[in-house]
This record gives sequence, structure tokens and C-alpha cells, in this order.
Amino acid sequence: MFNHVSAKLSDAELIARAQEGDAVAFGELYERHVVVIYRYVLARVNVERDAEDITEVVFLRAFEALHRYKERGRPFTAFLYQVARNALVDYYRQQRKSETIEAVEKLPSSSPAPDDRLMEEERIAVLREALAKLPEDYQEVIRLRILLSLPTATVGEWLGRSEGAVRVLLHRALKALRRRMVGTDV
Amino acid sequence: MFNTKLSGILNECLNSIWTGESTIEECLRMHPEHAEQLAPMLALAMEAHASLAPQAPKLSYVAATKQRILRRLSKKSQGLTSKRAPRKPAWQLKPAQVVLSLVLVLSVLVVGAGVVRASAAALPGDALYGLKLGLERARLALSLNAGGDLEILTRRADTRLDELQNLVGQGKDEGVEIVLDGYGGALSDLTDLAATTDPETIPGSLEHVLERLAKHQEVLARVLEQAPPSAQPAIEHAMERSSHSQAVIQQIRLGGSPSELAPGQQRTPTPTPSEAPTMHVIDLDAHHTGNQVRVDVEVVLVGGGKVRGATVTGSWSVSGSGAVSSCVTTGSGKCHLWSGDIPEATQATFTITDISHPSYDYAPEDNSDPDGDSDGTTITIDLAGLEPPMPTDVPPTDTPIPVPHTLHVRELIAEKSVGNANNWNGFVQVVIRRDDGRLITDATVYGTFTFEGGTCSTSCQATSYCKATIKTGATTATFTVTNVVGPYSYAPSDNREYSVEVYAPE
Repeated sequence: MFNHVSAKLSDAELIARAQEGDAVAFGELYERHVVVIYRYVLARVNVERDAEDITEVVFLRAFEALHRYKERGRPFTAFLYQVARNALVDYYRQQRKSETIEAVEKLPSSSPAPDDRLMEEERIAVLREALAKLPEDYQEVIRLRILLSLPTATVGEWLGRSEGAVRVLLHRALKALRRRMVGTDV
Repeated sequence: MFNTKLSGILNECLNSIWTGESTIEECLRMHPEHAEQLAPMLALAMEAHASLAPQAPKLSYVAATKQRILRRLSKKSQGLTSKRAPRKPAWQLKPAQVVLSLVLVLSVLVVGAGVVRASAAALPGDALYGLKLGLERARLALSLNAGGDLEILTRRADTRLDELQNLVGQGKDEGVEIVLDGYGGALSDLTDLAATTDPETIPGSLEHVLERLAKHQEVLARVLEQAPPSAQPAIEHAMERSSHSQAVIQQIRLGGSPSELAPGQQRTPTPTPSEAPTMHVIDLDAHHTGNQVRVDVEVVLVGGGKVRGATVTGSWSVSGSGAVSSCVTTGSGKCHLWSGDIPEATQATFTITDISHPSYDYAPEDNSDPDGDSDGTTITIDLAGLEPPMPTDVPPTDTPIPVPHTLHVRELIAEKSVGNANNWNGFVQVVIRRDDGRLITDATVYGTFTFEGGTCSTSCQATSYCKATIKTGATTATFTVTNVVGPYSYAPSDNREYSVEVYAPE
């Protein structure tokens, strides 16, 4: 992929170029961070096709808002994360409006799954439902720290919390998730 | 009070498990006093990770989306400035470039010039192939301008095809995919670079690239005949990529946007005229804003194609002043000239004195203006009676031009056919989205079903079903979208899917 010079630059250097309108520099930033942003979005929406669309929107919006971006100790991914959260808000708002149309799109699979697959899917559905019923900050720390396996420091930068606060939040979130799953405290 | 010590241990355990340094059991053994509390939480964390961790995106999605984003950003940046930032001279190289140049020099010094020369003949699987690729990267890093980049990338594509010929000549199919991946990568880099570089800064380079791409297709066609069957699909795919890249670069060279071509779509070759094509003004308008006048100029080729990168120069005549202005046309063929502050006057005149472009000649005798308020060369502005600019017009500052939304085919879903083998209906649901992902329902989709014994053109509303009745005994039909008409312009190059197969009922 183009550009091998860009590939050696730091995020800050690429951002400076992109802020001057260099689309290729932004393309390099896209390549560096698309996977983590896509995975985060997919963890939120659970539909691959929607995650693809939203991720694309995230990067287009990020470019448009890039002139407002100042590093100030926060990494670029934290900025992208914020853009992604806003895009998800719009997505859910639109989902509510076009619920009937979306329902047409999501046609049920015609091939039944085998029994063991069904049991596994059921367990996943229970887990997903339990996670969805947690407070938003608990859900988010589990998504970032457990589902995406992001380092505590990165989660702290994205959420605007200290590492210590993230550790405690995760501990509480896992306890709450377990309570939801098995009805017992840890 | 919450047990922060336990939170820290939980965190440590997760880190060591993610990195593979320890297992859950080992972690529990290290913290026996907390094992009872840790065990269920770690198990739950692992289960949640195993069950719900999202997959990474498909590589094809990442690559296609990057192209779409770059095309769109390229359109935006044309509104901001039509020129790519100049490359820095060698003494101002970035540290990474310095490192790469050192790699190049050290490669020659350490391994010897003979080895470096020998690496030029290396093929995938050879010990020196890595060195060969590394040197190519270093050369690109050391290139100081876009013209140099284009030349190096073109040579890189040439080299990959040389390697392909060698591999096939030796009867090998191992390594074919590697060199064709490399070839595809070089083409992507070439089109990326062409799309984001002001053609004025690389006169003649795009023409050279086009010649090379034409040559590549000849080579690929020749190699395809000799290649083992297992390698042929990859070579055919490379031929498609090559011809598509050629069409995209040709489009850019003619002043259009690469997004005007869908993947697979090619421009019909036109004979090269003996003289440079001519360009002229097709529209000349004036608006006033505050105490300034803005003139909008649109430049096209003789065949009607928009001209990007043309420098339009003209002079103002206001109360005896003879100020000169110039502007550079964007991909839409348009640019704007500002009068500066006008003193009290009732009339101003603007005359285009020249239009220049590295590839086209200016033909002022062809200038025209459909509005009739000018002759396409000179416009006289009645300062008392001018209309203010349209809201969509560009402000005088260097703010980006908003890019209008576009539509694309997001998904084609083949539904279950109904009927019998000799008389059946095939259905395809077409999902249309706007470029920002919004679902579009008020668009009409036009398409064709192609099947053994016939074709059927049809149309349908977005998200509903396009249908064909097939009575020829054909067992399959292919539905291909030919056009989409809706509230925004159709961008076929953004389509995620182009065609889908439907099958006769069993």
C-alpha cells in the first residue's frame, strides 16, 4: 500500500500532513487504526455490514474534524473512538426511524444449525443479553478491555480515566456481569 | 471500600493471560489468597472474550474502503487546494527517510555491491528476495517528488511482471501469487498517487504510466497462455486490475475523477490526436458579495470532459484599474476569481486573457456561455443589478467545498425463486445506501438479468425486489445493476456488489 514513506511516520506527523489536506497521509492513519475501530464498532452493533458502513463514516468524519484535533497527550485513537461513539449514536437514532426497512434487510437464515451449535449460540445470546443490561460504563470497559483486549492504559485514554480507575471499573463490571449470568455475587 | 488490590491482581492476570505469559491456573496459583474470587471472574472474562470478541474486518473491505475514502478526500482537498505539498529537499529529509537511506547505503557496503546486483534477479523463495524488496522500499523513500515516486512505482510493477515471466518460464506456480500481490500493490500505489497529485507537477508522467500499463497487459496476456491452470485465475485478476488502473489513470489525466469509473469499467480507447486536445470556457458567470465581485469560470475539453488543473488568468477593468487575477480549476473544471474591493463604480469588466494546462491547448475561439450574459471570454458586470451568489457557492476563504452525497449499491440479495424449471421468477433485493451509510429507499434501480437464451431489463424501487420471468429453461440468471436514479448522484465505483446469481426453483 502507498506510501512507504508515510508508513514510517508517527501518527503526529501523519496528522500534521493530513491537516494540510494530504489524503494519502490520512490513508496511512486509516490503515493503522481501522482494525481496532472496526472491531469496537462491531462489538457495539453486532452486524458486520453495519459495522463496515459505520467505520467508513467514522474515518470520513474524523478527516473532516481533523483540524480541531490537538494531541494534548491523548492519542489519535482516543479521538477516533470519540468520533465512533458519536457515529454510533446517529446509527441507533437512524435504526429507530428505519426499523421496518431494516427488518426487511435482515432475512433469517434458512439453514438450521446443529444442536451443539444451537446451545453455543444460546449461551452467547445469554452472555450478550447480560452484558447489554449492565450500566453503560460497565459495558464499555468490558468491550474495550475484555472483548478487544486493549491495554489498561489505552482504555484509560479512550475513556478519559486513570489506569487505576479503569482497573476498579473493570473489576466491578465483571462482578456485575457474573451476577447477571449466574445470579450470585463474586 | 472496594478492594483495589484485587482489582490490580485481576488486571495483572488478564495482562499475563492476553500476552500468553501465564494461564488462568498459573495466575491463581500465584495469588492463592484471592483465588476463590479471581477464578470465576477470570473464567467469565475468558468466556466473554472467546464468545463475543469481534472479528477483524475483511482485508478486501479495508482495501476497498481506503480507496473510497481517498477518492472522497481527494475531492474535498481539491476544494481546499489543488496542489500537493511540495516534497522536501534531501537535506530536510525526515528521520525515517534518513534511516531508509542509511539502509540502502549500508546494504551496499555490508553485503557488497555484487550481492545487491545479484538480488535484482531474485524470485520469491530466494534468500535475496527480501533484500530486493527492501531496496525497492528504500529507493521509494529516497524519491523527492511525486514524479520520482511514479517512476519508481511503475518500475516496481515492471519488476513484478519480470518475476512473473521468470516463474512461469521455469514452470513454477509457487510464488506467482506473491509477485501478483506485489504487482497489485504497486498498481494501488500508482493510482493512489495519481489521484492525489496535481498533474501539473508531473508533466508527462501519467502518459508514461499509461504506456507501461498497456505493455503490462500484453505481457500478462502472453504469460496467461503459458501459465499452469492453477495460476491462471490470479493472472486474469491481475489483467483486470491492470486495465482498471489504466482506465482510472486515463480518467485522471483527462481531468476527471477516478471515482467516475467502476472497478472493471474501462474507457473506450480513443485514437491519440497528432496535436494536444483543446480546451475552452463553457460557462462564465458573475456574482457580487459585499463589495467584491466573483467570476466563476468553467473549462472543458473539446469533447466536453472537465479540465482539472487549468490555470485561468484574466484582468479586471473597474474604474480604470487593470488588476490581474488567476485561479486553477478543480476536478469539476471550475474555479473562481475575485475582484478585490471595488471602489464606487457602476460597472466592472472581466476578460480571460489566457488559460494554460500542461496537456491541453487553449482555444479561445470556442469559448461560449449558455446564459448569454457573456461571450465566454469577457463578462461585463452591472454592479447595481447583480444577483448575490447562490448559497452553494464557494466562500472566498480556503474552506473545503462540501462534497455532495452519493449513492451506491450496498448489497444484492438473491431471493428464493418461484415457479418451475421452465417458467420461473427470479427475485433480487437491492439495498442502496448513501455514502455516509444512510439507507436509501426513494431510489429506482435499473438492472439486467442475463441467462441462457436471453436477457431481461428491469427496474425496481430500492429495498424492494427486481424481478425477471425466465422461460427458456435456463437454470441460473445473473442480475447486474446498470444504473441507480435517486435523490443523490449514483457512484458505481462505491458499489460493494455489482451482480448476483439467482437459481431456478428445484
